[in-house]
Amino acid sequence: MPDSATRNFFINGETLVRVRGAVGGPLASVTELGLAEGPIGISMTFHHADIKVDAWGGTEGPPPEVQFMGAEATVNMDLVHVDRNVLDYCIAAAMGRTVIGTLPSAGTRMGSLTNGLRFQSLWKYLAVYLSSPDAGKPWAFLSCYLATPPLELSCGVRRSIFRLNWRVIPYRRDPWNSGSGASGTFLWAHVEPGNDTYYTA
Amino acid sequence: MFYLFSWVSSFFFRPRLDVYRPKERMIFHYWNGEKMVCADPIAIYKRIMAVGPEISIDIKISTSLSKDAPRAQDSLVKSIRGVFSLKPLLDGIDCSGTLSDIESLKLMDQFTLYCDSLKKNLNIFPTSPTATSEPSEYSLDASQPMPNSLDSGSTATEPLSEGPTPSPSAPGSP
Repeated sequence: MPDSATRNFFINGETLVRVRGAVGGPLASVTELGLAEGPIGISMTFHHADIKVDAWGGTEGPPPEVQFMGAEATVNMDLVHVDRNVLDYCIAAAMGRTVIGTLPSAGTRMGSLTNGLRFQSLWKYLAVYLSSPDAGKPWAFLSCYLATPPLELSCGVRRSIFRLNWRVIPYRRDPWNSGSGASGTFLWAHVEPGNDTYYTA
Repeated sequence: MFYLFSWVSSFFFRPRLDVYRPKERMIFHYWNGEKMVCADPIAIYKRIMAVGPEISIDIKISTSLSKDAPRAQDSLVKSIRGVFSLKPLLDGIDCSGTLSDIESLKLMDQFTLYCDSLKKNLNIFPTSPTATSEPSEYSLDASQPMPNSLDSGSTATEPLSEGPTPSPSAPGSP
């Protein structure tokens, strides 16, 4: 068993993509980013670590126990329609800033150490909401950023297709939770925007 | 007198040439709000293909929950008006002399159905014989020698020999 395993999900059909950022910013409220025509790919990566014991052969033997070591995900989508202003804000947030084209100091945290509660100011992650009318199961990824710059594919004269790759992490301002260990951190939830107000850890 | 009559009648009874005429291409008819228009469906099809990706995306957005659905609907109708050379609405409302937005969309549907009917009624000529067809009289087999009657430049009528040709040194030969 490898240390990590990836599994793909697909959201088929037309999907409305909305984002939400920190309060006080341009994406303080749930804002429509665009429309995905085809399937949206969700790749989840689970991290596990084997516990090896000499009684079962040591490093050569199978593990009698496995530790879960967290999970992350990537979301890949092709948007046939995009609000370019919202996309600019998403790019700026991925660069750790609010104004596109400007850079923060090197080493700046995306979540901020001083005020890193989800959706609070200085928080540069974005929540990405995917409506799934065909499947009837919405997705909400609560701590995302654009892992790569958007790829624009020209489609005709006036239209373009935007390929976006999001990375989703289990963000937590204090993963240690003051020494007792943090649990219950949300990576995703099947909720509509507006029903995630309690996911602010 | 007879030659004079033939000369005069030749102006009225001309032989029909086996060629396409422009009006024979204008086989798709539609109402543009003012008059019936006869158009070449191939020309319309090419105009649609020129803006095909945009029309396709506009259709998807206009039927979605996107906030830009009304804008995509306007863009879609504008593209269709360009394809069928329809005049825009006067003041965005008055559709005198042209088609309304809904009528433009219906015209697009009508043309799509018309093209589908053309494709279904298309006579396809066979380009290769079917597997059950009998071999042609002149079919050639690569393993067989070419008959002399088909051999280029040969006019001899000697029959095909089944066996090997005896060599001059073979027994029995003179």
